[in-house]
Amino acid sequence: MLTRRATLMGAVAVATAPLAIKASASTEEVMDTSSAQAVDLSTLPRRKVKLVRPPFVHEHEQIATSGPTVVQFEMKIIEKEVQIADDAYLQAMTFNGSMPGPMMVVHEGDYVELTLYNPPENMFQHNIDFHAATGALGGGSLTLVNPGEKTVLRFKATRPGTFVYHCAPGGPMIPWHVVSGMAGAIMVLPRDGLKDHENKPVSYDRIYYIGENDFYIPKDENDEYMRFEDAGDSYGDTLEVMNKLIPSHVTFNGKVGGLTGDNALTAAQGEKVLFVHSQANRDSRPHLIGGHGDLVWEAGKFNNVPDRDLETWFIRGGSAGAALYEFLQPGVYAYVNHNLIEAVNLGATAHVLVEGEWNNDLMEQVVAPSEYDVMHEGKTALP
Amino acid sequence: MRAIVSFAALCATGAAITAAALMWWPGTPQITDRPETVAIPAGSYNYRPSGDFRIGTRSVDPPSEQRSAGTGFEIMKYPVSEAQYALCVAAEACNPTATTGQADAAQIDISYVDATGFARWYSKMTRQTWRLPTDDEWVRAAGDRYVDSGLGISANETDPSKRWLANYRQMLTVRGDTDTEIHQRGHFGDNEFGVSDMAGNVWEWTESCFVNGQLSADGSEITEQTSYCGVRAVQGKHRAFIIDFVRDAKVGGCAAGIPPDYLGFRLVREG
Repeated sequence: MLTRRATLMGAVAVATAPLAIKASASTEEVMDTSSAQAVDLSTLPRRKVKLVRPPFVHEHEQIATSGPTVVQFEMKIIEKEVQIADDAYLQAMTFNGSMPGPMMVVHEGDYVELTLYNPPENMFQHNIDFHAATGALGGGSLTLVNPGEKTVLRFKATRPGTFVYHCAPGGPMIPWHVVSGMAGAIMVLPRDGLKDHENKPVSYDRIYYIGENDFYIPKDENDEYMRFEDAGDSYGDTLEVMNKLIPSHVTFNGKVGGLTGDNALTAAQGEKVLFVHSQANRDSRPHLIGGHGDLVWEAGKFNNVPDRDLETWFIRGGSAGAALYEFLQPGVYAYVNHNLIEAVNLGATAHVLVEGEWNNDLMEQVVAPSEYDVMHEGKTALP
Repeated sequence: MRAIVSFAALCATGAAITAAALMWWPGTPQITDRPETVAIPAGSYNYRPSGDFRIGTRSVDPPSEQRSAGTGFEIMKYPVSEAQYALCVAAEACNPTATTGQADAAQIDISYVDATGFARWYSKMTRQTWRLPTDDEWVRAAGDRYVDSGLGISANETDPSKRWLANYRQMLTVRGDTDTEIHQRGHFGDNEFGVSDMAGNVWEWTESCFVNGQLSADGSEITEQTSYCGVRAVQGKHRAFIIDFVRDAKVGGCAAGIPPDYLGFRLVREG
């Protein structure tokens, strides 16, 4: 029997949306800019940057040492099955093979020039909508690529902050592609770097990109997660779960345990770590157990004064925020979505292992857990 | 383990202590097809007590004791299978739980309450006394599969974060590459006694409670201890303490530790 993928690999079907999916991507407005007034950027320096897998971020300057640059990135769209939990698989669609897609860093005034490849073995049309970009549905209308096609989009990074990007190929394909993994983030730094609440420069020693995903994996009559032949095959059952708005999994870095155990993050006492957290579809509320957000750009936009000393911050679905924290105490920290059901039962937990010297001034176990005299102690506690 | 313990202790409700008593069963057994068992010989072995131990206020490894057992005991060669557990469910003596459909796979998604319920029913059906092993017995039966829980951190280490981080890393090391597939019993092989699947990916319930203990100044012996039985020790690649009604420690395990993959059990036969 021919799978849907095999069918689609035939020349006839390549350019059309899969048969089972009625609302095709071509309902989206597709435009081009070829007749508009040309812009001459030939005098600007150009720089190629290779993207890296999250939670890591490619090397970058925090303070720009030159004028605006055209920063060239490449991303390949990969459709593949990914294990997202011990007992659950997703027919994933990804930017560059990872969930979330890789994080890009540029400076305000730079031009982002992305080459987007949709390889011929893929089944679907894809595009990219940058929340950091202005016009043309964030670039979505200019970047719809069929399997076997590529496109190059350039936009000017005019607003400093952390922003989501995601696939948005029209109609019901938009949420489906996003909850299948097609989202990432870009950080546009002010040219002179980050500033604190008093407008004084601040920097970070490390940066981690936490991409949060909500997944909706259908279950069969035996209450087991279903596996599918390909993404098209998974669509109908997945849509039913999606439309109930209750995710089966909420993960960091694409899978339950994506940032724990061997994948746990590391830091050292005294280091300032910038956590960039994105959620392209659904609200989240990051919290660092045993720590804080010293400076938090909750909505992620650096022209706003950062909040200070936050316990938990809010990431609106469809946005990315940034929190800077200096680790003051060594030990194991849990970075969670503080809807604790999502953190513990659905997967939204990361661990940070911090080396250093314990400081009893900040915290001390004055009495270790021990039996107390029930007859004489504990009577003064209640009002 | 400490992280798991703290979480477990926070969430635990009242503990029902079910001490298995040696009993004599009248009548003819209804189950005669008894499982393969292995005789664990008397003799000496190393054991590190289960729980949280301190010298004064400082958490340290409990002493690794050289213990000597005057008698042997008999333990199931394999964990209780899905097929065996299904009989108990069918008899309405056990609580239904999740199954993978592999009759000869270890039954997982088992709480302490489920395991002891099965033991009671199985004892009745076989006219023999079956119970969970103690932590100490499990260690004996595990033989060279037993992973010593000592962190090897000096008792004089003053920085509590060192033990915490070492514990996290030790759990990673002893686990190696995680294998979360459910296998037929026997997949993880026999130890030197012929006991199969010890320290595979199914952690096994024991009778033993969580112990809070004080050690002598040199750390060599336990001077006092109290037990908390709302949690029980489960044994596998590392020891963990789990609340007695929890069936899946992967969810609801702990905020900052590494929980067991699956929870199952095997029984010891008395008399």
